[in-house]
Amino acid sequence: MAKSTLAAPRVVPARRAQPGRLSFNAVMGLMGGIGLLMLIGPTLIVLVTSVTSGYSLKFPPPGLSLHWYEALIFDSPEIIDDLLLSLKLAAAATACATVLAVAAAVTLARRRTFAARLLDSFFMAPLTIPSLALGLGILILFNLESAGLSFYSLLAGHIALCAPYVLYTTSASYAQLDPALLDSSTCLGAGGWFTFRRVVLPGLVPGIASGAFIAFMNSFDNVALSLFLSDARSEVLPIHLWHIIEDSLDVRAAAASGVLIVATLISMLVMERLAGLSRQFR
Amino acid sequence: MSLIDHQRRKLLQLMGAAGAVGLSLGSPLAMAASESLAATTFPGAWEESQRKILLPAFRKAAGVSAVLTASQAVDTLTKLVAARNNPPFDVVMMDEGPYLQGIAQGVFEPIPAARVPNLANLPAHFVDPKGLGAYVSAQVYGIAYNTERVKTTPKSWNDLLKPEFKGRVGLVSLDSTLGTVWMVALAKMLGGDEDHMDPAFDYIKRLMPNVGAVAANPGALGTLFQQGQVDIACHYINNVESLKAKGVPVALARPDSNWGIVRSTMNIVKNTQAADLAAAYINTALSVEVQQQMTSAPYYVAPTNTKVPFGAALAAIAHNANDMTSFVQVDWARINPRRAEYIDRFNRLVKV
Amino acid sequence: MNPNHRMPRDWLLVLPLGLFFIAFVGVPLLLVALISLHNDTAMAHVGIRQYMVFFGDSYNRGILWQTLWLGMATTLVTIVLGYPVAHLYVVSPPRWRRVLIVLILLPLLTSSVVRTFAWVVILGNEGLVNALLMTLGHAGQPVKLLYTPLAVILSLAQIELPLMVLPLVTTLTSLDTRLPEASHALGASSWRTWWKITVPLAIPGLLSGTLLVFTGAVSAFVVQTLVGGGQLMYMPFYIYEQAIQTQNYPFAATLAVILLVSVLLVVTLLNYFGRKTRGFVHG
Repeated sequence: MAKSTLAAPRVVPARRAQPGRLSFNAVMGLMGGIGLLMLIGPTLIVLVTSVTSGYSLKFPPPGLSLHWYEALIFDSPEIIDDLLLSLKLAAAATACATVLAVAAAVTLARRRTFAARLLDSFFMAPLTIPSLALGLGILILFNLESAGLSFYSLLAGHIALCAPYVLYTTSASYAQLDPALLDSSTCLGAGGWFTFRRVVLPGLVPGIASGAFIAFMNSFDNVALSLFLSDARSEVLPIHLWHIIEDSLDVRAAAASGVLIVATLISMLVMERLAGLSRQFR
Repeated sequence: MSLIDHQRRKLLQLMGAAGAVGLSLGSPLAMAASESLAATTFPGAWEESQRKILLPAFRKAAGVSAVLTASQAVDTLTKLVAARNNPPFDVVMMDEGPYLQGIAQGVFEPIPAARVPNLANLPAHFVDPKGLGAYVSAQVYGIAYNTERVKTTPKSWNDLLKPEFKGRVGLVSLDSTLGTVWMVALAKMLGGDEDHMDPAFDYIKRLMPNVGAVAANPGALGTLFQQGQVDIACHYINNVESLKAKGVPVALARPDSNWGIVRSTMNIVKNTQAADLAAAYINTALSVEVQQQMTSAPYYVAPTNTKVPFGAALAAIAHNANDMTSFVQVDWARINPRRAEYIDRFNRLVKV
Repeated sequence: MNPNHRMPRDWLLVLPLGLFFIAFVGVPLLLVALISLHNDTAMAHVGIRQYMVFFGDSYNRGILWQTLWLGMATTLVTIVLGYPVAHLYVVSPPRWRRVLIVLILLPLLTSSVVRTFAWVVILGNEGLVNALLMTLGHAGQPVKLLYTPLAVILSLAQIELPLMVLPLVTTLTSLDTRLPEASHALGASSWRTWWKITVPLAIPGLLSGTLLVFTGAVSAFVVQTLVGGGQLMYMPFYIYEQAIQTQNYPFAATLAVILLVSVLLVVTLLNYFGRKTRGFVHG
């Protein structure tokens, strides 16, 4: 998002002392430090716990060992199965949602008509309404149709969950495209499809990629929808982890969490490099 | 046709193709399901013991692997009723209460005696007359306590009311069989029975200042012990022994009002696609080898196969199935109709 | 291009998503509303009995109130902790900003089960906080932190914190820095400038953040159940329990509708205030 050209470059504040500057900076610094600690602390604690040599979640851990990671990789076929299911689901949901949402975004992007704004709110709804309510509704729908729960019921819910993210980021990207580029392309004789493919799409790709990435992570993480809509014999990873934490406190849950954290961090850094992920949030 | 229309048309074709790809992604998953067996077990020590003992034995016997899902009996029954025509499981493990409800709701199939020869080794009253289920195990419960923090061995359920246990008692939701049978045991100790549960609820009300946490299921109750969140609770012997094996200082004591007993069944689900595999699974669960291993440390699951002797630690509690008939039991036929009401009443009582 | 000629063709692209959403968002929500209007579990009679039952029972009202209160308390904590973090971001040089954004985004993208798990480790009787208290000399019983409302608020606040920080960052970075500087030049103290100039300008970000945090906190099923334990009942678990465990669909649907309406009311309120305060910001 281009910064407003009105914002002045960061200027060093006047040398003349401002009253209260010290206390203001101290308070903001302290509270900000606490905030940052809160943001990152829990993640670090999980990582430390995952290398405990003991059997319980005592902190600090009695000793260090990688045997929980070994147990996770070699001794937990059911966890690996759930991981694969979650990945498959998130990938499929994101793919379908991206196709649907990009098409819609391109159409709705520059319109300010009432119909367009209404549709926009409708498509953003899954972000605000509790996904439990949505899950319950889709469950009732499938029950009424006497269509049993399956991968598809889960997929349907997850596509509805993913679409708003892709729609949002794509619309934002589209809105930032310089209309002059489109016009000049057409004026120079390029056809509609050519313009779309060579001028519009490249500009949209970072937005689409960021949206797809965020949608993927959200689908992977979602528990509420999966609780209602999943086929009883297959479990997505977050729900399985939850059961492990609640029912057996197996430290493998910490190891699995450690793997997830590292994977998230790496993919996040990659997306930042390739698509400027953080720009979507600023 | 203008170039813009051409553009739209291409996009639509693209979306159609993507949709087809998406659908084909889903189907392999649906196909794979019928080649293995979908079974359920209870969360916690049950799941652990069955994964270690039953699944490998079944694999050896049938050559196919089973997919085990941990689910409380009440939840499993709900899922079976909700998807009658296309059940998510082939063989399920039930507690007595939901088992009776399941029979009433017609979600089970008769077990083919020809394919389950081990049925012959069960006492007659452990097999449903119509063959709709067989009891595969019995489980004992008593007073579980942290041996490091609770110095004197507790002797009676009334001990939990002592002020020294303030904030240290664990409860389990009435959604689970453990919670319900304990309430009945309390009622019976205090002069009531399955139809007169008020004494039990009064007891809980008096217990509230001592309650440290309420667990969702017996497995979760075990983790509360593990984390030191609670020090005393009503619990199953298999969960307690499993915790001991993990190094948690916990033991089970016999209450004055006697041990309690809970029995579990296995049933073949109606409309299953894998009836033969399900029968083989039950046969394996009833076999001498599997039941023998389950009686030993650290699971202490009491066998139903008459050919299996009561092993070491279990012998400290009972020598055979006859001994256990004096243990506190529950008439589920009387509890089932009012179970939802009790669950609600309990939830309201324990709410912080 | 003749716009009138284009119009009908354009909407064709919106159709796939539109149809999908009607089928899987619109219809389900409608079904939930309809099912809630039945008097009994067998769904034989239509009526508003479920709503009467809900509002007539103090236990039920208590659960709704506790859930909304959880949302509000969590929002408050995220504002108190989130604003300073956003402030730190804004005053940092670009290199530090890159580090900070990773620190802020990582929790947002990490699984909520993982983050909740961390709080179980931190607040448990054998966890971090109690270990600290022990070393600081607090003898005797560990303090019960887990399974209390405070625990739920804290863990939720941490999980939702990025959702407050990010909108604030957006708003604060697009702030015209000449305004606070003018205020300083005219002699106002840092605190006064902050309160009178910066904060009012940051209100759009605060409202955005509040909306996201409140709706997130109220629906956070995993945290409420794992950290809250069996004694704390909130609306999300109540819905799940009634639908899946008790199989009382009409009541579960009623709960879902009431939760939905409460959330939408708050959202509408916040959007209304958002529009009113837009006049504060220029251009």
